[in-house]
Amino acid sequence: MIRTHSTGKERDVTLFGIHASHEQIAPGELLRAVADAYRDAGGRGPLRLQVHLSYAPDADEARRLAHDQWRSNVFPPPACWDIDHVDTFDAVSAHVPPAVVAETVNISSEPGWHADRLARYTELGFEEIFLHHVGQQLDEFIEVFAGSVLPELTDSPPRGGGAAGSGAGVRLTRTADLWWKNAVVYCLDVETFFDSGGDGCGDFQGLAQCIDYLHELGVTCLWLMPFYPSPDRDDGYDITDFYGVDPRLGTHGDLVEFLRLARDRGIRVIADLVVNHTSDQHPWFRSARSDRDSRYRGFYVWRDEPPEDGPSDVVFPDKEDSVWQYDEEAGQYYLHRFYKHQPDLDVANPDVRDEIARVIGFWLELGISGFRVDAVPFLLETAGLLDAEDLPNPHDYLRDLRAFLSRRSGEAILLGEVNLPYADLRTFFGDEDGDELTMCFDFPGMQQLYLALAREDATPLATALRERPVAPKDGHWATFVRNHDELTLDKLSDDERKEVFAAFGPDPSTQLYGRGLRRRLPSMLGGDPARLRLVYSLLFSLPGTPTLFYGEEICMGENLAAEGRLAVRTPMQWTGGPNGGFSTAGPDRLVGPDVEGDFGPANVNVAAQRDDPGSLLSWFTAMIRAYRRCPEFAWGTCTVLDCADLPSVFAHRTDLNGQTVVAVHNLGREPAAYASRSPVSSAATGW
Amino acid sequence: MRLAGADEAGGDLVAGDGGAVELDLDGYGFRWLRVRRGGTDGQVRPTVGESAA
Repeated sequence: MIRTHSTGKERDVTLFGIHASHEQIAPGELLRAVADAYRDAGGRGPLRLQVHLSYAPDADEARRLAHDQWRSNVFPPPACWDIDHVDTFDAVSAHVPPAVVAETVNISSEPGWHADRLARYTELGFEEIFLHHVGQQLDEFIEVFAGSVLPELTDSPPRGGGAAGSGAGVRLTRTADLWWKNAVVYCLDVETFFDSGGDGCGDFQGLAQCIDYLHELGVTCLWLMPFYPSPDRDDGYDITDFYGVDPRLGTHGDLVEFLRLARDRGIRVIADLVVNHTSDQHPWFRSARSDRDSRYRGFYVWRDEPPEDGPSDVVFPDKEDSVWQYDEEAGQYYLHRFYKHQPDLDVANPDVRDEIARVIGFWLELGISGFRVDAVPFLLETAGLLDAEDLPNPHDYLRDLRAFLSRRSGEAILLGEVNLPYADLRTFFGDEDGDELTMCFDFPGMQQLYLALAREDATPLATALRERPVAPKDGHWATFVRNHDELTLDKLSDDERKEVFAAFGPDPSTQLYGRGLRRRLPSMLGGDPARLRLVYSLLFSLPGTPTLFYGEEICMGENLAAEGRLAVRTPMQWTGGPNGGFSTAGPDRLVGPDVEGDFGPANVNVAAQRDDPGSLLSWFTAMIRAYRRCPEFAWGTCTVLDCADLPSVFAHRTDLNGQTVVAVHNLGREPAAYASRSPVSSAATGW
Repeated sequence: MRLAGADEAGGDLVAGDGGAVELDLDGYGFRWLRVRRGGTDGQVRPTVGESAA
């Protein structure tokens, strides 16, 4: 690990056992030593460097800004202030306390100087460099860097010394702010990940103990399913306090400690934002239903009679037959698109919007890096409201929400659950302005992928990729094979859905809501390791940010004895021991049942796979590393290659700054000999 | 050029100028190939992903 501490004016540094003062190792060499020592110690993950750039037209002003920011604890104490001039802040460094950091602060009034230093970091072996602006003059900073520094870097050929396979010139600049574009997102539920307290329920302290597992895997962003107080009638998506932490999972203190730990490992954390509705036990709804004059009455949608022109389709047709529920206490009907115990909030109400903004601001202050936004189309829906035709465009609200988020945190994202056809999806990005959702899940593409797998014919996938709208410049698609809900196939035709059901879930017990499957991928594919790897190779190479659901990396299956969607939300399988090592509690106290059979903990667990180079877990780790070394997939221009004479083959190329990656996948069980119809080396690069 | 041959030769590959890619894939097999202009600067890039099949 990297550790620094100060002894007066001489700062000693211990790096993986290397101990030296800055007088013995030149600053540039110090950073190189960090990189070399990390690799020598067996470090396999990408090397990341946090760089704080302090720019001002006057060097003294830049230095003052950096000093003020450091004194305000805006950035942690650096291991190296300046690649060339570590003495610049000698007086300051005398006060630097011990810390676990690998940071540098660059101070200059010369954009070219910054550009040169940034380029040199890649030569020292750092593969990812996160830039942070120091100071208040953000507009000027952006203008200078957009106009001077970034073009200089991106127009330059990669400078030697970078990791093999990296697109050095591009990573350096673009990953600074748009981190989500080549992130590896990992979704988990705290309550099913690891139980540190032995009560049968996972918790934040347990999750903290697993951070290095996630780091070694290569995860760069964690999406936490709801961790708020809840009666738990919808697995936490029925919330009673948007500002709270479910006491079963821990405290705010535990959460903040975890966030700090994750940040230290270079992992951002996003949270589920579930504000389409509340629990009917939320104090707002309890007040609203009990008193027509309550200030919270208008937080919800009430009608004396269900309207004829309102929404009618229920989300959970197996449980609900109407979106309107009469409430005896309130004396009116209320709207609920989900379960009846989840009354919809009226987001057209300015007071509700203010509350949602406060919720977002609250979690950002605690260190959350954005939100996975639940049920976005329902959130924006105005049908059913009394004055719907007079309301402003709901997308104006989404724009306002994004603007608020960005004002509070420049790095924060909104990752939207928008399960709509492509024709309707781009609007949720904010069209070409890109000022609404930062990312949208690619539900249509996922469904076509399954149709292609079922047919062993790549045509549906190729067609989907060709038809998929291009995300706005700074936006991105989020791709996934499996998420925490049912594997929805609702955008397929009835016949297509039957094909997928026949291939992957013919037993009615595996189907849900008539539109999806409640199985994980391994059981759908009969545990075929080659086919599993094929599918995840597609996930990591298709354009979009790969989003994993916990346990996918070790081949976890499902437990169909669990109700509905809970079949795929079983406890994480850490060992082959009792409860899969998830908890020491008795089985009757577990938050959910374990998987049984071939995919249960006895056969599928982390401990057995962690040191097995042939395991799926080891393969996933290598694959993620390869993905991170191919920024073309995230940043490049994707072209689906013509494979008309080989229906089972899907081939695509991505081009970026003179580099090309081609990926070819055979979805069929029979061998295939692929031959490109046109030279792959004749892209826009001029080859 | 035939990239499968390059794989067998040690995992490196170069797409020759104007050359088309030919690739043998097992059932459910796949390849990721970094393709660069071949032969001019002596640089080749390794295959960065490959199927287990």
